[in-house]
Amino acid sequence: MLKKIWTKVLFDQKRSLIFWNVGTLSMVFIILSMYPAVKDTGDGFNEMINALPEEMKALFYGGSNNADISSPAGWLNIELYGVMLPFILIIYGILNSANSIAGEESNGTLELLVTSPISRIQIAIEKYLVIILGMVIISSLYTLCLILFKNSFLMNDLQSSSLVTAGFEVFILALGYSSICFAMGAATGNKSLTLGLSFVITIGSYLWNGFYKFLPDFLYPINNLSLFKYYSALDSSATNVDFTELLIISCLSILVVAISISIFRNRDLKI
Amino acid sequence: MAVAIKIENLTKYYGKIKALSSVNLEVQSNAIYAFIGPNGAGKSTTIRILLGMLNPTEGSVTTLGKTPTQKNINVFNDIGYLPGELSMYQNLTGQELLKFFGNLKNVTDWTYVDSLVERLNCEPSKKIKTLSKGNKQKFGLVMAFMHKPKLLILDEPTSGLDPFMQQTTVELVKEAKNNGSTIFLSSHIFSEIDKVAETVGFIKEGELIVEDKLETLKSNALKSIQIEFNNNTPINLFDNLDNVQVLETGDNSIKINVTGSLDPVIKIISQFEITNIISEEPSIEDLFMNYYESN
Repeated sequence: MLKKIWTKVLFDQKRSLIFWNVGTLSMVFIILSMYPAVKDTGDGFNEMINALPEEMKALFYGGSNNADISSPAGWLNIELYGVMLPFILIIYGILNSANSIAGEESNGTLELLVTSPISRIQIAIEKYLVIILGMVIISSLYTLCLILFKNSFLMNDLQSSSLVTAGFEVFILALGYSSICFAMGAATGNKSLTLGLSFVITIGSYLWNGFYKFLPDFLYPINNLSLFKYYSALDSSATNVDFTELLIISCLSILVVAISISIFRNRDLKI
Repeated sequence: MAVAIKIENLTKYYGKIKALSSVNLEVQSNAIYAFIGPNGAGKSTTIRILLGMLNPTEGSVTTLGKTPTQKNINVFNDIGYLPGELSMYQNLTGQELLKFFGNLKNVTDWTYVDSLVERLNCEPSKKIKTLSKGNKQKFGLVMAFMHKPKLLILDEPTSGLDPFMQQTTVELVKEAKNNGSTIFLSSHIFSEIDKVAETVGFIKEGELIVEDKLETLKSNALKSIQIEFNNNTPINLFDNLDNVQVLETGDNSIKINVTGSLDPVIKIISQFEITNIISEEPSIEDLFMNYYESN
């Protein structure tokens, strides 16, 4: 496990990755198991939800139009895909991104690493890839769990492809915010600044996406900068998913990280 | 003889603060160079520029003939580094730490690593976070020496070590030199520098104030000598010598400070019957304090 930087990072994260997965899967399983009870008594909830303003629905239900709590997709949107799963994966990604370059630079361990015969580019890329790998593992496992157990909890109508698409969307959303965090850390080397700004950006863009329609029209275009705008959560028909947008977010994430690695390669280290 | 480290007109600013000012320095291959200065003088900044962690504002550095940038990353195959403030992965055991860095440094002779662990009395099965400062320092030393580098840059190598391990460290440095390595050493412990250093450089407020062979510095340094005569102390004995300062004159003895050659002093006192001469060789600490105060 300790032959390469990426295996060492995985070695460091093995325990936390297990806990993140156990926690996420437990939550998914509990939400799944509650569905049969909600299925037949969802009308009251639906009335309450439908009475909410569209902006509030967008805030809590991931922008999806599918807010029928008695349907499998509606229930999972409200309880999982609207807020919980995106934020679980984003928090995982941000914490690990802030700890990678900026964290090692802040606590001084980067000094021995960069004086080994290994380039800063390789250090950064290996660390970034492990963060992505961790997010892939978490999103794959809960998607797999949902696919395997959905029928056991009366969600036979729900297409597995929809769950895969939604899982992919959550991953891309988390990839975007994690990449911003990683880039800030690599470019500045300041962990607390990176962590603080990343959460401000994430929560700020989430709230902006929910509330921007209350604001004057000329402020609307700012919402194009919120990655939550492009997240459509779980949709039973998957027609709302724009894969071009997801591809653009992925490419921009990689571009931002590439620029930050280039800065990291040449800048003074703050050790 | 090849040059292992070459620093030319090196200047470094942190914002508006000048950390180094036109430093010029050369370390010959297979030499032991001691880089001495108080805290904040610019030692660590110089070392970090030598290792490519910081970029020079002006001037240039080469280590083992190459500029230590990301373009010449292979140069780090031949450099062993011990930081002054050692930070290691707390969650690893000593053995895991050595395995990880040994792999990064392409170590092939693990028997040598084991011998270092044994000589420095390391505790490889314990987690780094449970070790004392001195025991962590031992692992830092093993990591610096483990790949038999051509150039060792050691910042406070004996910091936190007990006297036995300090002696072992001095031995390791001497062995590395005997095996052809160059050692660039920064330390506050003058006694250990005295034991190993061949050339010293004193740095003050970012400027290299003196650099020379240790022997030369010592021979040119102020020497304190007490001469005891069989009869009364002769009067005005050293009046004609500019390099002698009389400190104290007793009935049968005289205490003087001499800078430079002792030859004229010996020639003068040889005309008298001497019962004893007490001469103290200046320590490197005396040299440092003299240069530091005079600059």
